[in-house]
Amino acid sequence: MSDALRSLADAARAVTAAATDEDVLEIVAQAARDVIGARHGVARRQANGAPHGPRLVAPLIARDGSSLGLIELWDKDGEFTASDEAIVIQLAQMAANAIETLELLAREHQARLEAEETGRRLLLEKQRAEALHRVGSAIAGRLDLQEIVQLATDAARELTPAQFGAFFYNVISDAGEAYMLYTLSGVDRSAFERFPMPRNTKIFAPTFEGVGIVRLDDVLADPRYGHSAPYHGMPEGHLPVRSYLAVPVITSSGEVAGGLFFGHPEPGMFSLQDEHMVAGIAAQSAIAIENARLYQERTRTAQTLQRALLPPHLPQIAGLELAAGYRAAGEGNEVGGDFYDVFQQGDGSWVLVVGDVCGKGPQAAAVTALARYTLRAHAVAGLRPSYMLARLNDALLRQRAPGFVTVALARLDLHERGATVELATAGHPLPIVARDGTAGPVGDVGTPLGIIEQPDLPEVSLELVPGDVIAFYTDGVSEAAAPRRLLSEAELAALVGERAADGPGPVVEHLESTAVAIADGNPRDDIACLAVQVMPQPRVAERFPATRQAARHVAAALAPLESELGQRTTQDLRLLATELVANAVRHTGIAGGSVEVQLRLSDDRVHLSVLDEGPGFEPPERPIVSPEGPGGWGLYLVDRCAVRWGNERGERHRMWLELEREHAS
Amino acid sequence: MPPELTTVVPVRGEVTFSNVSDFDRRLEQAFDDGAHNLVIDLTDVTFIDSSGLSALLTASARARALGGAVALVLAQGEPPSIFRFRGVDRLLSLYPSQEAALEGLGR
Repeated sequence: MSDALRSLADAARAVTAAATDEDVLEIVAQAARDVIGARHGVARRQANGAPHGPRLVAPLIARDGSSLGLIELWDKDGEFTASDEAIVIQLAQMAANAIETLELLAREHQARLEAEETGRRLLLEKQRAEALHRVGSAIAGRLDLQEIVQLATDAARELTPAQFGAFFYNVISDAGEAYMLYTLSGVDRSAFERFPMPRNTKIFAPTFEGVGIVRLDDVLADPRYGHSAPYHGMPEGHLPVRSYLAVPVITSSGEVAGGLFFGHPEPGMFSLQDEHMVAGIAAQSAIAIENARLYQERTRTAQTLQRALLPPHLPQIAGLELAAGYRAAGEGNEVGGDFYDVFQQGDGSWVLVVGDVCGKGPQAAAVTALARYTLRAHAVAGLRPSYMLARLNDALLRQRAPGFVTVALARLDLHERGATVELATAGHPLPIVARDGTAGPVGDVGTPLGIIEQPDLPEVSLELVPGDVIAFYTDGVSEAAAPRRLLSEAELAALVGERAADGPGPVVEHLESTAVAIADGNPRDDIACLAVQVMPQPRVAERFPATRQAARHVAAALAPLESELGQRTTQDLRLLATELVANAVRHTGIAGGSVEVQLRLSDDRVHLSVLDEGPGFEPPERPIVSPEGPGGWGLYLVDRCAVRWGNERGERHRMWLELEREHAS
Repeated sequence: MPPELTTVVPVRGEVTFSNVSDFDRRLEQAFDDGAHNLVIDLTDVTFIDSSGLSALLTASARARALGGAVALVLAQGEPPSIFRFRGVDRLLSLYPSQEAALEGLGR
């Protein structure tokens, strides 16, 4: 092989291995010069300014005919020959092919890079979108403000490079005062406890004023940093924040509910994507915070209204034991339509009423208020139950109240042997009377109120003797688990009968807890119960000053009963009565206060009540263990000796107990 | 045990929250006068409430702190009902007579 051919073959090999088009051009120019013997020669992508004179030029022509450059040779001893030209054209073709291949490879490579980059970006975006969605649904599912802000702060910290984060948010107290709370992520609360809340410094202001997002690669280098007294920057001991990202949380009404703040000790950590992520979480949080506030507001309103519709406490009536229960359906964020009331009439009789206004919410509340106060308003007149209900019916029709009301209303006249009851029911479940272990419904069903003029309101009359219990309830009890399971009248009567001997409190509790239990803890409607037990006439009812001398009054009050009760029972009774009175004197704590001791006897038990004007106390857990020291013996003795005991806050604080009577065998 | 360190405190009538402060003072006085042991004779006591019991337990603790003890003398038959409760007898030493109580302290 001649030198020329070898050079050409070398060049052909070299161009296929060349990495760039410059290399290609250099290789073919070198080969052209060597083979042809020109001292000067270049290959380039553009026309060049070779000096005037003889030259050999061959264009580099791409497959599509376009020019990729040229090879140009000059300054050769002798003429350029035809074979020189053929060689140069060969070289030019070689170079053109090589350059085209390189360009193709480069384009392919670029395209692959771009595709990969796009894929990566899409994946990242998808991950961020999924994360944001996850956070969003988690936040949206919460109704507790504290939970929402904690979730949001944790999520934003985890989804960005932030090392620590905080959510400062505004809350309004029950008293209507606004104040700021905060929650933290990635850092212990102790790291912030010594510092005051962030104020409207130049760095913080855009966030707290809701102006916009602040994202700084280095907060220390920001011109707004470090101008505000007293700290002029971060206080000593503050977390070392360099990278800073703060996003205001703005509600739909434009109010700034708070701000999300994130930091990192290294500069330049937060990207635009991080900013978008936190802005997304802030938007989700704003919605959730609004929802939480609305829910809280609604629950508060409902509970306030509900409280206003029920008596704050039942009256304490000599000769009657009362108990009532009310349980709102669901989470108590809606005003129910059930109500009960106990009040005295002008003629001294007592009215017991339980009712159910159809519907829920503010409208039902308005009708409930109308019902309750209409009945109370007629108390002066001392009317019969059917008359009272007729008056209520008139009022409902006059007001054009929507829906209807069912009511059971009893009038009790207490006398020496017990109580005379007159009872009328208007479309309401019949109350249950329990006596001597048996129980059954009493009354006659009348027309619900608020529907027609002159409703049919039959009245029944019955006599209750000491020990008898009459229990009223709403259909929230019988239909707690409807339609799956209804409590029949007979079943309800059995429930009342089972507990009547224990008094009205256990009866109410039993009805309510049974209803809740069969409804798996979630009764479908409100539940209201009212139970009353007729008590024997008190054998002792002594009221005396709440002073240290009171122990002597106790002894004097109980002394006449010794022959009837026996020495042992009288001694125990005296001890326990002294303990209760000592407690009452201790708790009354007001000058001129009084203590009253009431004692009732049934065949097998002694019922002792001690009433005082003090605030009462929270009883300890039972059973009360035997004290080891000098204190705490009083209630221990009561707990050891009494069959049942308890205390309640009514018009007066009352502590009561029941003692088994000793029976001469 | 030197006898002068033991004082007998006889009590009569009733001890309730109405008069327990007087009772308390008598017991305190006995300690202040140098007693380490008290024999509190409750034979003629018809009624004690939990504030009286509390005074007895306080005295008992004070005696123990002095290295002594408190012994109670209860009437046979029907002692005040508070002594029938479980737990009370566990914390106090009960005797049927002054002699038994003094002997109990001497052991």
